[in-house]
Parts: sequence; structure tokens; C-alpha cells
Amino acid sequence: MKELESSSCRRRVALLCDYLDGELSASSRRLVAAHRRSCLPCAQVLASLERTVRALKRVKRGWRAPAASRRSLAAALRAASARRR
Amino acid sequence: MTTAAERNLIERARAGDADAFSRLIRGYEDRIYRLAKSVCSGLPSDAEDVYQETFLTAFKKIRGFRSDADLGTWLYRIASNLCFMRYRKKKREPFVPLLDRPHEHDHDGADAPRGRQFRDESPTPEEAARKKELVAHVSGALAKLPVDYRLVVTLRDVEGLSAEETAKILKLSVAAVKSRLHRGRLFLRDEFRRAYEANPSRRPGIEKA
Repeated sequence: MKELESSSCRRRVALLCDYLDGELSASSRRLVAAHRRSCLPCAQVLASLERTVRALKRVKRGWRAPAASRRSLAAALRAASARRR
Repeated sequence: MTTAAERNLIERARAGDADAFSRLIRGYEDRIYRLAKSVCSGLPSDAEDVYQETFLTAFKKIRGFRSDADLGTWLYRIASNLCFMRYRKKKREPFVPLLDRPHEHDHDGADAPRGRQFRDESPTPEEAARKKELVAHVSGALAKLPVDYRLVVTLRDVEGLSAEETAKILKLSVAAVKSRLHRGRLFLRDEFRRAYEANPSRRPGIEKA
């Protein structure tokens, strides 16, 4: 697997992801927020990562166990229970 | 943490009560189904199998489940192992380099037009079709990620678990979870961007990443 091109790139992405995930301290968060306003490349990476995460979060609502799958599971569990007894 | 009501159902399930077990897992069925669908992207029958196998395995092993443990973590772990084994067994693992160049395409603008961003209200047939298309595109992009990255991205970004919970489920360090998550997100961002650029007018759910 290809490595990140440089350690500074890797650190930058890690920092931006931590910012995105709300995992930075208040002071680090303020620093990244200020940097975002003044550095276009970092602002663009951050915006693109935000959109990517939003797309992933949105599919959550599109995947629900169908009623047929639930019924099939319930039947399989009852059969497994009968075999155990 | 397992609740008192869950502990009661666990006791009955340990005695072989399938109805008690069904009630116990009711809150987890959609979560495990989503994990299976996401990790087995592009393989619908495998996702159905993982969904069912996860709960059958849990029912079989419920006697070994510690009541002070977290039921969700345990179920996610069983499902993750089943997904992982399935891919390893079938050698379906994609071998694609994860592109880790954060600024590769960043000259072409940070923000998509407002109209292409997600909207939460979606009852119309057009919205339903767009959502279906989004799910198809996200599935397609996820299918190109190696399975161990896909598991991390799914647990963190689809399921919304913390890095610590994900690390516990996958038996990884938090640092390893974060590293896989960051690389996985960059890879997916580039996949979404390719989908958008291939046909901007028909990529309503996937913005210009």
C-alpha cells in the first residue's frame, strides 16, 4: 500500500481529521479554525473531507434490515433453539 | 454497558429462549445489517448471510457473553470477524493503492454549489431516487477499499462509533484506527470526486468532494 507522500502530509491529514471529529483540545481547535481561514489548500482538504464524511453518514438512513430478512432471522433462531432443546 | 432489561433477556436466551433473544437484539438488527451491507458492498447475498450468521453465532455463544460487557460491541465484533473471514476466504480483497495526496485535486475549488449539497428532507420520489443513487455510489466506492479499512470507515463514519469503541471492536490500537480512517476517507473522497467529475449532472448525492 502506498505510503503518504511525506510525514508532514500525514500529520496534516491526521490533524484535520481530528479537527473534523471534534477530537482536538479547545486551543488546538481554535488554531486549526484560524488556519483554515488563512490557508486555502488546508481549507479545501477540510471541506472535501467534510463532504465525504457527510455522504457516509447519509447512507446510514438508506440501509435498514428488510422485513423479510428479519422474519427469516427469527425463523432461523427458532430452529436453532429447537435443535438445542 | 448492558442494561438490567438486557441482562434478564440474556439469562432467558442462555436457556435457549429464541423469543427472548429476538427481543434482545431488536435494537441491533439495523446496525448489524448496515455494517454487513457496507462492508460487503456489492455482494448483497453476502451481506444477508453476515447479518443472519452474526445473530445465529451470538445466540449459540450467548452463554459465553459476560453480562457486564457491552452487547453492541460484542455483536459488532462478531459481524466484523465474519466480514473479514468472508473476504479472506474468497480472496475478494481489492488491491488498490490508497492515494494519500491530500491536495491532489484541490486547485479545482473547495465548495460545491449549494444546490448540490445534501438536504435532509427527502420524501419525494425524486429525492428517494437520489438517495438510492447515493447509496449505490457510496457502496461502489467502499467496495474498492481493502476490507480492514472498510470496517474502520463503516464503524466510525457510517455507524458513528468513537475511535475507542472501534478500536475495541476490531482489537486495534486507537492510533491504528485513526490511521486507517484517515487513509480510507482520502481514498473515498477521491472516488466520490471521480464519480462527480464523470457526470456532474447525475451525481446529486455525491458532491464535488
